[in-house]
Amino acid sequence: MLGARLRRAFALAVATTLVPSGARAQPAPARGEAPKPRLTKPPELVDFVEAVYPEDELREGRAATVVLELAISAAGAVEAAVVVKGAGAAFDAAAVDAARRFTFRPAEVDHKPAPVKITYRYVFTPKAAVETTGKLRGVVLDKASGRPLAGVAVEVDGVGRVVTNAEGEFAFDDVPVGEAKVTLSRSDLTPLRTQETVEAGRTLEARYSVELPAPEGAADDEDKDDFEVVVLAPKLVKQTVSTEVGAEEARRVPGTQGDVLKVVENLPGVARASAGSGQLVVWGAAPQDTRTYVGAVRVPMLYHFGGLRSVVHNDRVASVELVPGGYGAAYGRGLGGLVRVTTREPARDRLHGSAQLDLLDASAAVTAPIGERLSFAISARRSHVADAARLLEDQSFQAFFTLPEYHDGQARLRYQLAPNEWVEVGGMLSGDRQSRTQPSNDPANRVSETRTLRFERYDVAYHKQLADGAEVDVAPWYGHDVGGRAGDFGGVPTSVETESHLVGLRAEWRGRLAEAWTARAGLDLELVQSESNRSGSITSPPREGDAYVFGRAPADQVSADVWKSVIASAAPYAETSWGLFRDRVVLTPGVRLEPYFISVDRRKPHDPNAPDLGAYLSDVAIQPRFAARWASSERLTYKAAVGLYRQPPLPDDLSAIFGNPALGISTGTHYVGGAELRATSDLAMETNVFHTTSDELVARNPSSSPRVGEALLQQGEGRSVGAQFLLRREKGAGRFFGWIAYTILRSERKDSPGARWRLFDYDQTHVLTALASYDLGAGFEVGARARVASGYPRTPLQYIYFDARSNRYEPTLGVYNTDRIPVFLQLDVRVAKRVKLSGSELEVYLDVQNVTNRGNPEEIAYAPDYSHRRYILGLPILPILGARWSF
Amino acid sequence: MKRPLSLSFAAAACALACVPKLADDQARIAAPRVLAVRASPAEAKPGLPVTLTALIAAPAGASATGDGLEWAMCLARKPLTELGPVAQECVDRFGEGGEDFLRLGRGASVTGTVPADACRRFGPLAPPATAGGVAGRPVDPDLSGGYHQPIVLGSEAGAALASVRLACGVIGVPNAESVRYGQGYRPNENPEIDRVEIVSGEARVIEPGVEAPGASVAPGSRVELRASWAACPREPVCGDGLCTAGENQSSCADDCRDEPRGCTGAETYLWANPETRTVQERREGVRVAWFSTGGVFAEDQTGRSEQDADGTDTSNVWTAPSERGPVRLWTVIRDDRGGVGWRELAVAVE
Repeated sequence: MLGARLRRAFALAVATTLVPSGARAQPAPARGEAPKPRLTKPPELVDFVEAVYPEDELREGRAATVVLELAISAAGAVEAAVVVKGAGAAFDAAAVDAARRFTFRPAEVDHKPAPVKITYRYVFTPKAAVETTGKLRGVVLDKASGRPLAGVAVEVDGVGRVVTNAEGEFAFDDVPVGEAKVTLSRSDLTPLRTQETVEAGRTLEARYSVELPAPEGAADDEDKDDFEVVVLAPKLVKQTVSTEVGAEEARRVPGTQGDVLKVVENLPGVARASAGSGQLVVWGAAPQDTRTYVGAVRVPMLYHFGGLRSVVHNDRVASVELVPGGYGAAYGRGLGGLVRVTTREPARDRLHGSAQLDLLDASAAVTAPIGERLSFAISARRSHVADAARLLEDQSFQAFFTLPEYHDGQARLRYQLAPNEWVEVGGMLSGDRQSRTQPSNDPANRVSETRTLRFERYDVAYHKQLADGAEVDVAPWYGHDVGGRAGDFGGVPTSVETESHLVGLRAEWRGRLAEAWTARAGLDLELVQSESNRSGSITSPPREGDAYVFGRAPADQVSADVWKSVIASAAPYAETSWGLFRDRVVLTPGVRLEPYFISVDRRKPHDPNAPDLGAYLSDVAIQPRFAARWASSERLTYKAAVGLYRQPPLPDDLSAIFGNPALGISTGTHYVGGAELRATSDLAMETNVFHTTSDELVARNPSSSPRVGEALLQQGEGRSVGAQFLLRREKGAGRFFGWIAYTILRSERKDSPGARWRLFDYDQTHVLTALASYDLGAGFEVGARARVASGYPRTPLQYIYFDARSNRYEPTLGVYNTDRIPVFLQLDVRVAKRVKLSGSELEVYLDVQNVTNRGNPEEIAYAPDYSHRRYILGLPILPILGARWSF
Repeated sequence: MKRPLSLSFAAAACALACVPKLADDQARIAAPRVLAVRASPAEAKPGLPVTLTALIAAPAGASATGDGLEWAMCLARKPLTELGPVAQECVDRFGEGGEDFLRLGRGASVTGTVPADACRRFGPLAPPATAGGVAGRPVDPDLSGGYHQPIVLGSEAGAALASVRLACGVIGVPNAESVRYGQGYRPNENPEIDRVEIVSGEARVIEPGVEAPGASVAPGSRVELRASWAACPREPVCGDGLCTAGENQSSCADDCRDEPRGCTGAETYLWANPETRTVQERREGVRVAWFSTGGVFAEDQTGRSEQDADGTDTSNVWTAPSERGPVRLWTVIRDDRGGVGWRELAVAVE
C-alpha cells in the first residue's frame, strides 16, 4: 500500500560500467589471436520494480542512493544484486529486493545474447506520494431551505459509504481517479445516483441540494423532484456580506403576506420603506442604485407599486439573496446593493401547481415535465385590491397611499441536453398602474396622478457542468420597459414617459484551477436604448435633495423635451479565490473592466431653427474588488472586502432641458468588514461594519444662472457609514425559525463642492427587525414580526408668505433635512393552517399588519396656510386573509 | 371566505383613511391681510411703468389702509433647486434689502418701472453672463407661456409675493411661428367681476361698495352666491372695441390703434406650445376667491377651467353667520395669465 501511495519511486539507473560477465574472467588475447568479444547491445530495463521506501526513512524524509552491481543473465533476468556502495541496511535491502525483480532485454555480445554485469544506481527520493486517487468532499442540503441534511448515506461505488454529519458534510479521501458513482440515500428519501469525475490529487467539492418529501400532515406540493442535483461545482467564495433566504422559509415570514421576495425588507442593511413606496434602500444608497436580478436578467424593480407584492410569483422562486455592498467583480453598474433572485427549475417528475387568493390579488402556477427531457413552468398573478377599493364611497384614503393595480407572469421551458447540461428559454412580464384623483371645484386644487410601469424580459439560459466540475452559464436576454407618470397638481401638468429596449448578456465560466484555487471569469453586457418624453415643471416630480414639502404644489414654470439615449457597456470580469492554510484563509481578488458608451441625440435644447447636435461619451475604467475571509476556528470567520463601483446615469436625466446630456459615470467605493459566528448548524450570528463613498453623483444645478443643458450637474458626493447585526436561526428540521436584524447608519450627501454635508433623504439611523415563526404541529403555524425604524429626515419650514398670484401660502425652508418623521414601530402577526387534501394541500393564512393598531407617522402634512401640521399615519391594523391550494 | 375577506377589506379601507384633516378656513378674514395684488397694466414690457395695488382686507374695526406696506421688485433669479415660486432670498431677505431688491415705496399702491433686463432675468432671453461665465439658461415660461417679474410686499405682520407679467415675446419656435405670435399676441387685460348676486331663492344682485350693505340675508342662512364676468369673443371681431388675439393695428386699426383694450373675462390668447413648438390659441381659465369677515364659504375658490371657459360665472355657497350684523365680502378674480380684479361688498345679516 505504501508503494501505491508513493507518487513515483524515483529510480535512476545508470550503467557506469558494462562488462560482459563471461569476458571478465578471460585473459586478454594475444596478437594474432581471435578478437575480444565486443558488447554490441547493452541490456535494456524492461520491467522496473519500484522499491519499497523504508517507512522510517520516508517518515523522516531521508534520501539515499544505493549502488548495486547487477548480474544479468542471457535471458535478461537479474541473477544477483550486490551492494557496491550502501546507504544503510534498510535502503540496501529495499534496493536489492527491487532490483532482483527487474527484467531486462538481454545484452548482446557480438550480436548474441550474453550475460553481463552492470552497475546500477538506485536513488530514493522522499517525494510526495504518487497520487492515484482524489478526494470527494461535499455537503447535502435541503433544496427548499438550504439547511444541511444530516444522516444521509453517501456511497461511492467501490470506495465506501459514509453518513453526513450535523452540518450535512461528507468526505472520501481515497476515491480512484475517474468516474465515481455516488449514491445518496436516507430512510425518507428515494436513493439518488449521480456520477462525478475525480482527478488525481484534487479535491472535488460537491453540493447536493435535494428536495425533502412534504412533512407529515402536508400534501405533496410544488415541484417534488425528490432528489435533485442542483449544483456541483468547485466551491466559490460567497459574497462577503450577504443574506440568503430560501423560498420555503421566506414565505412564512410574518408581515409579508406570504410573498417570498418581501423577506428582503426584513434583512439587515435595508431601510424600512415608507408605506406604499416599495422602494429598496440599502446601506443608505438611493433606490435606483441597488440592482435586482432574476437569474441573470436585470429587472427594473423588485416590488410592484405600493410595495404590496413582488414581481415574481412565489412558486418560481427558489431563494433570494441580498448583498448590500462589497460584492464581487461579476456585478456592477450600481453604487448600492444587489438583490439576486434564484428561480426554481421546472418540475421534472410530474405536474405541480398552486392557486392563491387573498385581499390583494389572485395567482396561479403550473409546472410539469413534457417527456423525458422537456419541462415547463408558467405562472400568473393579477391584483384586485384597487378594483375592490373603487366600490367604496370614500376615496380620501388614497390621497397618500394609492392602491395599485398590477399583474405579472412568468413562463419557462427547459430542455435537458444531458444530465449536467440544459438550456432554458423563458420570459417574464409585469405591469403596474397607480392612479389617484382629488376632485375640487377649484381648478387650482385639483390633483390627479397616474403612474405606470410595464416591463418584459425574454432570455435564453444555457448551463453546462463540465467533467472537472467547472460550470458554464450563458444567458442572453432582451427587455422592454415602458414607464410613465402623468399628473396635474395645482393646475401644473406633468408628464414623463420613457420607453427602453434593453439587450443583455451574461456569460460566465467558473471552476477550479488548482486544489485551493478557484476562479470565475465572464462577460456582463448591457445596452439600454431609451426614448423619453417629458413635459411640465422641472421640479416635478421632485428628486433626492430637493427641499420637498408634502402637499406643496410645484412651481408653474414648465417646459418640454423629447430625447433619445443609448447607454451601453460590456464588462469582462475575472475573480479568483485562493485558499490558504487548508482554506482557513481565502483571498478573493477580482477585477472588472467596464467600458461605457453613452449617446444622447441632443446636446442642447431643441432649436427649431437649427439642427440638433448629439452628445457622446466613452469611458473605460478598471474596477478592482477584493475580499478576504479568515476562519479562525470552525465556527468563527472574519471577513473584509473593498471594491470600486461605477454607475451610469439614468436615461431620464439625459435631457438637455430637464437634465444634462453630458452626464457621465458616477463612482463609489465600498469598505466592508465583519465577523460571522456559526454557533450550530442552524444558528448563526453576523456583524458587519461598512463605509461607502460615492463621487460624481448627479444633483440639481444650484446656480441661479445655470448654463444651458446643465440643469443637473455631476458634482455631488455621498458617504455612508454604519453597522449591521444579524442573529438568525434558520429553518432546520426544528419547528422554529427567525432572526433579529439591526442596522445603524448615517448616510449623507453633498450636492456641490461648496455645499455642506446634509443627511440623505433616505437616511434611517436605526432599523430593527425581529421576527419568528413556530410550527405548532398539526399544520398550524404562528409567527410575529416587530419592526422599529427611525423616521426619514425632513426639512423644517422657516417662513410663511402669501403668493398673491396663485392665492396660496408658500413656505421658505430651514436647514435641509434637520427634522425627522417620528419613529416607526409596528407588530405584525401571522397564523396559518395547512390541511392535507387528497393529493393536494390547502393553506389558509391570516396576516395581520400592525396588530396593535398603532398610528405610525409616515409623512408630515401642513395646513394650507402652514399654520400647523399633522402626521399622515401609515397602515393601521390591516388583516389580510388568504388561501393557497397546491398540488 | 367571502365574509372574512369583505370584513378584512373594509377594515383596511377604513384604516387607510389616514390623511389628517387640515382644511383651514382660508376665506375667513380674522386679521388684516393682503388678498391680492393687481398690476396695471396687467402685462408690461421692460422699461415701462406699472402701478401695483394691493387689496387689503380686515375685519370690522381693524385698519386696512396698507400704509405700512413696503414694496420692492426682487431681482434674484430662482435656482433650479428651488421648488417654490420665487428665489428664497426674495422673501427671507426682504427686510434686509440689498442688491437683490429694487425698492418701490410704501402704501397700498405704488408705481414702478419694470427693469430693462427683466426679460433676461425672468424671461426667455439668456440671462446676463456671470463673471467669467457664459450666458445661462433662460427661465421656463409659466403654463400660459408667460414670464413674471417678482414683486415682494410686506410689513412687520408678514410678506406677500406678487408679480408683473412681462411682455417678452417668445423663443423656441420656428421663425414663422414667432412672427405669427408677434403679430397676434395681445397683452393680458386684468379681469373684472361684473356682478355678484345671490341666486338662492329670489335672485338679487349685491350692490358693490362697502359703505352700505348691498344686500341682506337671514342669520345662518345658506345662500348661493354667483360671480359673473364679461363674455369674451372666441374669434377676433374687428370693431367690437376689443383688441383681442389675432388683431393688431394692421388688421384692425379701430380696435388696436389707441390704447387698445382687451376683454375683462376669459380672453383668447396665443401661446407657444413647448411640446409641439407651434403657436396655438388658448382660452384663459378664470378663478374666483371668496373671502368674508363672517360666515363660512363651501369653497375657498371656485372657477372655470380653460376647457370650461365659455362659462362666464362661478358659484359658491355661503352660510351666513348666526349673529346679526354687517358682514364684508371680497371676491377676487384671477385669470390664467396673472390678471387680477376684485370686488368689495357688504351684506347685512338680519
